[in-house]
Amino acid sequence: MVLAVDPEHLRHAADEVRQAAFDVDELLIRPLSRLGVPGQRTWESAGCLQTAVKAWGEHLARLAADLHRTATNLATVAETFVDAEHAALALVTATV
Amino acid sequence: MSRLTLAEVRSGDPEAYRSAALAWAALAAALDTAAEHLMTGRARVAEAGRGRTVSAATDRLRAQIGGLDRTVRPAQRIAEALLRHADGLAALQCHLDTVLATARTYGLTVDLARGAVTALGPPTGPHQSTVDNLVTELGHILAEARRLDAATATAVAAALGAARPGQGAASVPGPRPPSDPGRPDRATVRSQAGRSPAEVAAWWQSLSAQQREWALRDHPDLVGRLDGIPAADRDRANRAWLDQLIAQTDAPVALRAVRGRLAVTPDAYLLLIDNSGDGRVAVALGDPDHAQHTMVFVPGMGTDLYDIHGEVTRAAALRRVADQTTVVDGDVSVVYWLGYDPPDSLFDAWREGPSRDGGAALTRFVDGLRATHVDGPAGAHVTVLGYSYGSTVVAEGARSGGLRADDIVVVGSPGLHSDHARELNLDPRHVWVGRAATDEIRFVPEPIHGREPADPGYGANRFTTDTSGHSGYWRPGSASLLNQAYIVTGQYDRVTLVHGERPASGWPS
Repeated sequence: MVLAVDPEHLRHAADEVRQAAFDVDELLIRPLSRLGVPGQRTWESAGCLQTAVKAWGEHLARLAADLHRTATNLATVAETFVDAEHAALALVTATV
Repeated sequence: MSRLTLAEVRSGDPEAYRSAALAWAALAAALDTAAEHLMTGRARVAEAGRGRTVSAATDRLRAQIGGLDRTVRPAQRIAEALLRHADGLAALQCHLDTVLATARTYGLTVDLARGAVTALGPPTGPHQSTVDNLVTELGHILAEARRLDAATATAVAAALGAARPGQGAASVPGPRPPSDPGRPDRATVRSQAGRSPAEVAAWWQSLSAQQREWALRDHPDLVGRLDGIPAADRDRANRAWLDQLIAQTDAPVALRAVRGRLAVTPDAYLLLIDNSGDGRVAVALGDPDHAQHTMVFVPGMGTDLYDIHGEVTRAAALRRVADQTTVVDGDVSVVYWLGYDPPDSLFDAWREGPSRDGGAALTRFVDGLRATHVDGPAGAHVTVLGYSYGSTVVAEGARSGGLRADDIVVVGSPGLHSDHARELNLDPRHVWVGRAATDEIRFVPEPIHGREPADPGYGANRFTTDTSGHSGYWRPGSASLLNQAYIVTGQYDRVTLVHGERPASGWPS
């Protein structure tokens, strides 16, 4: 198995994914009600829109959480590679 | 089925729909931005190295980009449907007010809950026909309102689609995957931005006519900014996107100026439109994919979307004169290219960042023109003209060695970030400098942007100018303008020089 990884790139990737998560967070900070049309109860379209707003709100929350998780995992992977390198180096220097 | 009454049509609030539409458009834009960050993240992972971890992470991010991309277009569609609803409702209310005013004129009363029209007095012959007409009109208005409501509801429901279970957070409340096989999805179109214009052109050619139509219709914002897409298709995409931007953005004045200019400019192709930051735009006068001679005009400091009218007028003057000097009518295309963010002030103009970024974008744009020309990459004679600070953008593109221009023209240049014309990676005989004696740009100290390009020692051809000041180079009937026209059309022997050496003939593609 060929293994060659630069943790710095993974850290940068984690930052980008985190930024994407923040972009979605930003959407959730503002009230989702702005996506609907309040006061138009008799309109079928308004009702449909309300359903859409609810579904999108739930989806955006899941999406933000998923992106944050990916960002954290990428950052952890980067540090894992660094730790592995340090541990390997320590082993080599202790045994050679 | 909608059970609206006329009373509800009258009390409906178009502004509520319009406001919601803007919110959905903003949501779509934010999701698009998030997807861009993920794209960059995926690229970083790919650069991180090799191994199963990298592969798995890349796959994971690809899935998330796809999931995010699938939400953008549905959100845009909801925004479009709500805007149509707002406009339609406002028009119906206007119509209804007219009918009610007519009824009042005839002394009739209208029951908006039932849609009934009643006369105060006993109905007579002509009076009864008026009542009948009004009832018919009211019926039409109500039917149209119900149709509008149902159409909007259907559009919203279609965009909502069905969540696909079992895919965790990557599943989206967007539409089901298109049932049309081969329909380009957003992630596919978006990924083209990372490829060379020649590769983009090859990809576009590989699509069927139906697939190209889908891409243009579904993702005009992405297709329109791809270098390597033919001018006619880019124009279609960008005009559609411009209409959407004007309908959805909060500050559309500059965009309206662009649309207004296009409306009065025949044979124009909108090759780029972007309202982020100060905005970017490119307009070709004449089809660059079929022209024998194409000139790309790069403007200078302080230019933004609001300047579209004057800049396109300038480009049109140059095209007209250049075209008149050739045998074949319509074989010259002039592109006004504001594809970079010019500095806003003299202080900012000292910085080289905008010219470096602009130079890279310009190089890519010219590659795109070459990739889509009907006679192949060397089929057209391409001249790049930089005006004022724009000349530093041209210089940066040329110094990198990537700018595939046959001739470079600079007018009113403060310097070209170089000591000699050969540093532009072009035979110096194809580097042309126009400098009016009274151009204030001569007061820019040499260390800022490099050696004075109008000096004989710089090694470029300095052509004759008979205009004054910094902005007179395109005065109708002037030698300044005519000389540029001769260069653009490769008629080098007709250019009058202050100093330098004309190339023999032809162009070095």
